Parts: sequence; C-alpha cells; structure tokens
Amino acid sequence: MVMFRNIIIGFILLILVGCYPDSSISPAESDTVYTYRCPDVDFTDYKTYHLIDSVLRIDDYIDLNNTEGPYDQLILQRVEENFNARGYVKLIGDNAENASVNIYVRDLSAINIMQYWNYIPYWIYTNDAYVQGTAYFPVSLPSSTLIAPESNIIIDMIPNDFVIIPEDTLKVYWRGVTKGIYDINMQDRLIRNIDQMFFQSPYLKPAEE
Amino acid sequence: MKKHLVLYIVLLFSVSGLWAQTDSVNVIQESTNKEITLDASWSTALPMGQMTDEVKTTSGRGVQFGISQNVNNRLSFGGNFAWQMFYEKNYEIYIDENSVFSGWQRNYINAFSIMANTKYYFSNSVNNIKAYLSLEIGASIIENYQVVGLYEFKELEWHFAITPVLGLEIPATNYLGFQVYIKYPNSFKSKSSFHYSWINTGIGMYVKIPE
Repeated sequence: MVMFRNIIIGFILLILVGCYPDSSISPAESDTVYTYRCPDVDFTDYKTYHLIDSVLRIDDYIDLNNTEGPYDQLILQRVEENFNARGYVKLIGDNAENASVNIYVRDLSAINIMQYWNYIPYWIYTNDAYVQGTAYFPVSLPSSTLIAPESNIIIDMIPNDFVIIPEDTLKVYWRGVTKGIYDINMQDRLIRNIDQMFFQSPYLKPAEE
Repeated sequence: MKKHLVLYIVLLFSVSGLWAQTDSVNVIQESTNKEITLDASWSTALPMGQMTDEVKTTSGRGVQFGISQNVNNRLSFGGNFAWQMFYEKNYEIYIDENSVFSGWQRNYINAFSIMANTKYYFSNSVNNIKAYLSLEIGASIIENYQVVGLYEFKELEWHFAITPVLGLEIPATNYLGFQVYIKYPNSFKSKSSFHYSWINTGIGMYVKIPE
C-alpha cells in the first residue's frame, strides 16, 4: 500500500515537473521591446534632432538622479547611430535649439520582487489578499520568489516646441522601451534591443530631398 | 506540420484497413464473461484548428489512464483520465495600430481531461487483435500559460469535451496486451476561451481482470 502511494506521488510529481519544461529563463530571453508612435505625427516633417547628453534617472523621491550608469554612453551612442542611419541630422551646441525634435533617454531600472504560486490547483491559492507580513488565514505562501534587478530603458522623441497639456503631460511623438532582467553584461543586449526598436519603427525617417 | 498530418492519416487508414481486411480470419469467440480492463498509455498530439494559433509543435508529453467494464463481447463502458502538454518557444512580434511589442514567448498548454467512454468492438479480428470505435464525453480543464519576457498571461478554463477514438487491442496473454489508438479530442469553446482540438496517437498496455 505504501509502495502504491509512493508510485502515485511520484507520478504526480513527474506530471508537475513535465508541465513546464524549459521554464528557466535566461536574462537575454527576458528582453522585450515596445515601440509606440503618435498617430497624428508625420515623421517625414522632421529632419534634425537633439540628443540629450546624459541618461536621465529618477530616484524614489521622483527627483532627477545624476549618477551615471556603466552603459549610458553606449546607449546614447547607439541611439545616435540609429537616428543618423535613418537620415536624421544631429544638432549640437547652440544649434540644438533649432532641432525639430528632442531625444530623451531615461533609465528606470529597479529591483523587482516577483512571487509565483505554482500549487495545483493553484487557482484556489492565488488570492489577491496575500501581503507578505500581514497575510491572514488561510495564508498561501508563494511557491517561489524571484528577486530580479530589472533593466528598463525608455527613449522618447519629443517636439522641440512642446507645450505641456494637460499639466505634467508631454506629447510624445515616438517611444521605445526595452525591459529585461539586469545582467552583468548588458552591452550586447542593449545594442540588440535598441536596434530592434528602430527595426520596429520603419516610419522613422525624414523626407528625402 | 503537413508531414505530421500525413503520418497521422496513414496511421489512421492502416488501423481501419486492418479491421476491414478481416473477412477470412477468426471471429472472436462469443463470450459473456465480465471483466474489468485497466489501461495506461503514452500519447503524442498534433494541434489542430484554432489551437495552431497558439502552438504548432507536436507534443510528446502525454499520458492516459482508463478503466472499463464490458457489458458483452462487443460493448464496454468506462472512464479515462488524460494529460497532454504542449510547448512552444518563439520570438514573437505583436503589431497594434500604433505600437509594436516583441520578445521571446513561451507557450505552455496543459490539458487535463476526465471522460466517460463507451467502446464498440468490431466482430472480426486478426490473431485476436480487436479493433474498436469509442466515444468519450466529459470535461477538460485547459491551462494556457504564456510568458513573454517579464510578462505573463494565464488562462484556465473548463471545457465540454468530446473525443472520437479508433483503436486496436493486441493481446499478449489472456489478461495482458498492448493498445494503439488515434483520438481526436475536442474541447469546445467556453465563455472566454476558444475551441481546442488536436489529434492524439497513443501506445500503451492494458490488463484485464476477470470478475
């Protein structure tokens, strides 16, 4: 009887393991790229751009943080290369004020804590009331917790003559976002993802003269 | 995909052809002995219809267990439990009107079904190999789990399910034998989910326990 029970338990475990093969995810495979275009903007109307000279960071108090990240220059350089390759002209120094659009790069990377409930049947346990430290009975502890530093780079194209309407809102002409698990070597991934943003945005090109 | 489909069709016709060519062979000895049959099998599955929008890859992860009791030598009733798992990983690009989203996407579909079934055994046999047609009716619970980067989507729905089956029982001894089958499980559209269907092929063993 004990042996039969062990066989049943072993079989159930085998099925549970078999339900999600290849479930470990590499940092590179966690990358996603999102791009957005403002529908009423004709990108061929613009020929010049001004690229901000440093990556913007915002701290927990929603203040600008001036610390420089290890990949800031790489990101800015790759963004510039892609815009130049499309035919846009970068304006620098005093001329920057005359640029058609401004390109801002923001880094909103942060440490994220993700919790997973993999119980079978897990739908019984996934109650939204679970809060670590203040959970009440019945408590459903997560079966796994992933603490992952998340890379989150946002590139915005904003008109040079922008007006803020409504308050605290800017009209963004184009936005590219890349998200993924932060890794010790982000170089290749950042280059690939920034390139992917432009690949996904074939409309980003000035009118040919 | 097409290659797999052709293989399944060839297998289907082989099974039905074997049954059809039985004019000159033994007729199963009429018997009214009641017996309980337990069976277990390994199954593969090829997604069909709307399901191919989610996964296209053939699944080799599946098991089925059954129990049945014969009413006479032609007819039996019983039930079975099946689990089939589908998995696919692709780089996906989703295009909306003004936005595009891309990333590596993993699709997991785990289908568990609990069915009642009836089997009709054909009267002719080759070397006591018995062909049967079966119809399974029951419910399936299907989890469709998608992970794209750091985002995930999970759908879990019960479906009404019907499965026509064509199979063969190949006896090795009086009480033990092998089985092969082709099934076409259909889990019909539910409130917020779609119609899942796939073609199953399975191979397994059965044991008959006389009452």
